[in-house]
Amino acid sequence: MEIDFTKRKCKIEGCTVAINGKCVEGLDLTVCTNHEPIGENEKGEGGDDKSWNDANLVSFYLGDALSLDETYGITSNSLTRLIMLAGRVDAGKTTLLASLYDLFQMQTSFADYTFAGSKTLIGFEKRCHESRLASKRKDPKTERTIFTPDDPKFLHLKLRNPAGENRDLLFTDISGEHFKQLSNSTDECKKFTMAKRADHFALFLDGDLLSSIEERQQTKINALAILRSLTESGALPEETKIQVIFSRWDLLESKNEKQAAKNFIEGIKTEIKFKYPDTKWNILFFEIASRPDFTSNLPFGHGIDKLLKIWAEESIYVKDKKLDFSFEVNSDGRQFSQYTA
Amino acid sequence: MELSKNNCILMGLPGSGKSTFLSAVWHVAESAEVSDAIKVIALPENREYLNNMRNTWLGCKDLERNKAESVKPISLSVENPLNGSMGVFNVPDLAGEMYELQFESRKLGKDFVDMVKVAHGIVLFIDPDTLKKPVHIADVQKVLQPQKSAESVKKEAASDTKPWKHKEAPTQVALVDLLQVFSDFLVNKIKIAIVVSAWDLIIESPDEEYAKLNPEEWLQKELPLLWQFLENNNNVFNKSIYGISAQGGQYGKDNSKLQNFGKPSERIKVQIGNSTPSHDITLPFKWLLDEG
Repeated sequence: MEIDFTKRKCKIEGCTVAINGKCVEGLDLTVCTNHEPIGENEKGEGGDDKSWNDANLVSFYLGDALSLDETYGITSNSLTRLIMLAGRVDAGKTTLLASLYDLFQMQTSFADYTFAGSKTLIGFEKRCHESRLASKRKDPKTERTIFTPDDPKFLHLKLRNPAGENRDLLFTDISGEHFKQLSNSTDECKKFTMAKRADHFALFLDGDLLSSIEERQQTKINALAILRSLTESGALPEETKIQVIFSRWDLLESKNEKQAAKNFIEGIKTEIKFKYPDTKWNILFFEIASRPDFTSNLPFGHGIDKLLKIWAEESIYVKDKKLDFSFEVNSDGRQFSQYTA
Repeated sequence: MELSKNNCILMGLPGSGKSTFLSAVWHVAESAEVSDAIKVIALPENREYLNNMRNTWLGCKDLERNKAESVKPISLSVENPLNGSMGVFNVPDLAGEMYELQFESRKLGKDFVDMVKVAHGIVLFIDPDTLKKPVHIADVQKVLQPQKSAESVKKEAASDTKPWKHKEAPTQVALVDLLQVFSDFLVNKIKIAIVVSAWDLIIESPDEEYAKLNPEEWLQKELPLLWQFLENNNNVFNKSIYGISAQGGQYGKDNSKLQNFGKPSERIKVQIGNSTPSHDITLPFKWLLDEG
């Protein structure tokens, strides 16, 4: 039975079925359960009535950070790289994302990648705002991510690589408070199922705090606690590629005690390699200055280029080989496993 | 013989030059002053609106801004004298405020969606004089306070942050977002003519290197995000880029020069690639009309 799509509306935000008959989930209209008839009082008169009222309007995607459900429109269409950014509050997670986005606004390519689209332009703009003149601030900052453990948010970038292939990247934007909670509870880690599907797990350690003799030990211990909690609980599998990011490198470099800080960081690297040997784990280390202070000689986005190449090209879904993940129905990990190579 | 229909949407943020362009096109197409330009082969029934705009353009005056909710459809039966191809351009003159409203409200009018679904081409206008570009605080700090340390600046700062609003978004972000929304409704690949309006500001710039930029180079330099998006979505958007000065200069300041031309069309400047600017403001429409 053919369905007249012009008389239907969909419960999923941004679905264009009422306009062009295309379901955002790729389902046939006869089987999709998300669409329903337009109510009598919603039928627009069209024609002469051009006023901006709901009956004559069609909604499209909000453009803000995506909820888990909203990522489906992306993950169902392509092999999406999921990059999980982890670390304590103010470690620089959101600032890195804002800077990565800004780099594509400032030049015609970055790290040999070019911008092909994003469903979260407004989400990125909000996160960049406090680093820009328009915010009326005298010093740049990034607004702290709100703690919403039951409603994780994602930012999206579609990029094109030098070979002309498109890459959809989804980045988590999760509060540092959530990771503090995860480091304290195995039960919480077990519920954190989306980590199982993460292609990349980027663990942030604040370089500025590592350069402080009072703060460095606690900074190291807190970060390693996150890693241990997630790996020991099984939430983070061995297939996931891990990047340990020493952020705010510009602030570390500005300190008189920078050599002591660098020696301490070498010690962290040695400790991590010992606890997570190369035979089982894939761990790399990076020095990043996403938004260097104005007194620094480091360029904007220092170090992000090397990260981006790894994030965009490596996936836990190896070509021609499906990895076997067992996800419970309705788990976050299952959401991201809708598409397999 | 039935003429092929060419449904064309003029798109751009407020003040980007759509109406001024249309005024100048109407003059050139109707007057036949420019020999190679598209010609109107039949006067449109509802031409009072076009004639009023044309008169304002001839008088070197600014046009009254379209209000957001008024949509004035314009239908022009035209012929390209170079190859004889003919068609009907159906062009709704949509206010730039409508696009701003869409970006903020995340809703589209159903009438507009219907236009997009049957569109054959888009003319996208960008005004270089009103571009919003992201400016980093750190870049300003570098220039204004090079002698101060970062710590001392932070102590001075009394930070009352102005909340983010949609109007703060850079021009290229708003345009990419609008094109993305468009592409969700399109059924076939579509031609998009990008018009960098007020092109006189670029070619007469005191910065010699800037003045030598062709329209595509200008787009890469000033709106790199938009340029990347169009390059990487050429399966949806087939683009051609023009630098156009429909006014010929700044109204008020340049009026005596602008009104002194023997033919009003001679004040128009149109550049594509590295070509010498011509007066044929119908070039984007010619390209949209062509089969290729």
